Amino acid sequence: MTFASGLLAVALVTVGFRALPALARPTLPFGVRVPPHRVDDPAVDRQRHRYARRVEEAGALAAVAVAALALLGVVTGLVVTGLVVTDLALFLLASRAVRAAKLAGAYYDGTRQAVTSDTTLRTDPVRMPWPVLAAAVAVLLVTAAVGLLRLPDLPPTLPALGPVGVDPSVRTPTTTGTALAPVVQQAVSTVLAPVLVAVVLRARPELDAADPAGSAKQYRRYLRGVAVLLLATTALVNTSLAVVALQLWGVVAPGPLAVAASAAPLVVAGLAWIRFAVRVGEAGHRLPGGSAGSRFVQRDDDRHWYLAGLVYGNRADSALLVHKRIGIGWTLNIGHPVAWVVLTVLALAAVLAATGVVDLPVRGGPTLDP
Amino acid sequence: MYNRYAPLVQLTLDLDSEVPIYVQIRDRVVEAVADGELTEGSPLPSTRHLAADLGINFHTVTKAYDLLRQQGVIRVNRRSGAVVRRDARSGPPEPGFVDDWEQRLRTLVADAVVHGMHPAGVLGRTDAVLGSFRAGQPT
Repeated sequence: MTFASGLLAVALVTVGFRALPALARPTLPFGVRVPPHRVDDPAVDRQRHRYARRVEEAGALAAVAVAALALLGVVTGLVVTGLVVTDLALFLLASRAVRAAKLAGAYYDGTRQAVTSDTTLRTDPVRMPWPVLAAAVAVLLVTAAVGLLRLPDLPPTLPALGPVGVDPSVRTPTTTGTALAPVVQQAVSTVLAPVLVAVVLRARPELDAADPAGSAKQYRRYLRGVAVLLLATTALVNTSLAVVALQLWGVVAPGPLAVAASAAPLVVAGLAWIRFAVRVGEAGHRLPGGSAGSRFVQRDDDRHWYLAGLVYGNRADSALLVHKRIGIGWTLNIGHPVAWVVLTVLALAAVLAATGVVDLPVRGGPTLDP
Repeated sequence: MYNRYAPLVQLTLDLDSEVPIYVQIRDRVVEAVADGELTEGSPLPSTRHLAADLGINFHTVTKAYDLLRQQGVIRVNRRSGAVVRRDARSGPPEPGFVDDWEQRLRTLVADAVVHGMHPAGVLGRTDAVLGSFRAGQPT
């Protein structure tokens, strides 16, 4: 990791962790559930400010360390890893402090806890945005068609796939597998994305009993946005892979322009997700339409959440997927038997890939055929 | 097709209430029908989906649906699942319903009398509650 990339990584990590509390739902500061009338409690505010100051200080220290190590010619990757670990620890500390303040202040005394569900989310669910998936499929089909047309005319060796496109200095023998590796990767992502979206659309809606109608409307828009973004991201990833494939097949010359053309769709996807996180927010809490007025507060289920709201485990809960407390997305209920089946399969796949028993079609990784 | 102007149907359960959860589900569904949010033919979620969404036991939802079925509010079959069977426009009440309802009303009014509510207050509040149900309004 060079000096510039090290500094950039430190800045990104610091900005990311610094933004976490601002992006979180107000009733879930540092992954701890608090009732709406206590979101601005001085104890919670104090932790927000303390966490922000410490993350900034850790970032500044890491930047100095990166600069010092760069002068000495030492690799700075460890500094960035250390910064991530430090920021995570700061988050956990803040979470523990908020939880302690919540217990000491008896935040839930005098409230009526409730759960809520919107039946229309089941009887008239958010549909799969097929037109967006069609874009991903179209890119895949066009790339595959070009690949099949070029296949007979390819040279005996092809440039190896690198982390950013192809590496012309390393050549590998031409086989159907090496030539069509980007197409296979496109196909895998195009098949997996709608499966993932279908699973997400069936996950338990994240509604708030303090605002049943408002949160239901927000969640519906949020869910639709996530589904569209997931499939649009697939289309953009396929586009990026198409540019890589064109370089591999000699249609486009490798170089800075090709790298930029390959990276641009991924940058667009990243920016779209950031914009979504800022404009829509977790579970759609930033969207208009929210209105308080219910005499209830959402059930306090902190006892089922671990590691500052990063892990959920509840054997009595039949839901397999629940919305994360931090960030956009869903997490497995590790109290559900199926979750352990999923985790075991993933762990096995990781072990088999790490030991070289199977080759996963990872970009920049090994190709499919020898 | 989802209609953004169609009423949303929320089932909110008070976990601190002494009223059993399955009775609360039954009450919320009946209120949603009275309010016009659910009409004859409206589908209800499957028991497993509703239980997972509310984070409650699947048998609790089954018990609530059984009660609603016995009271003639919904019908349940294997193909279409649980569907609302009747609403305010489905015609006069079935034989026996009024007597049963009057018995429950008697207990409710007795509560008001025991706690010293004025008869005019009882009637006034009953009128207000009745007026709040959109499905019962003349068209």
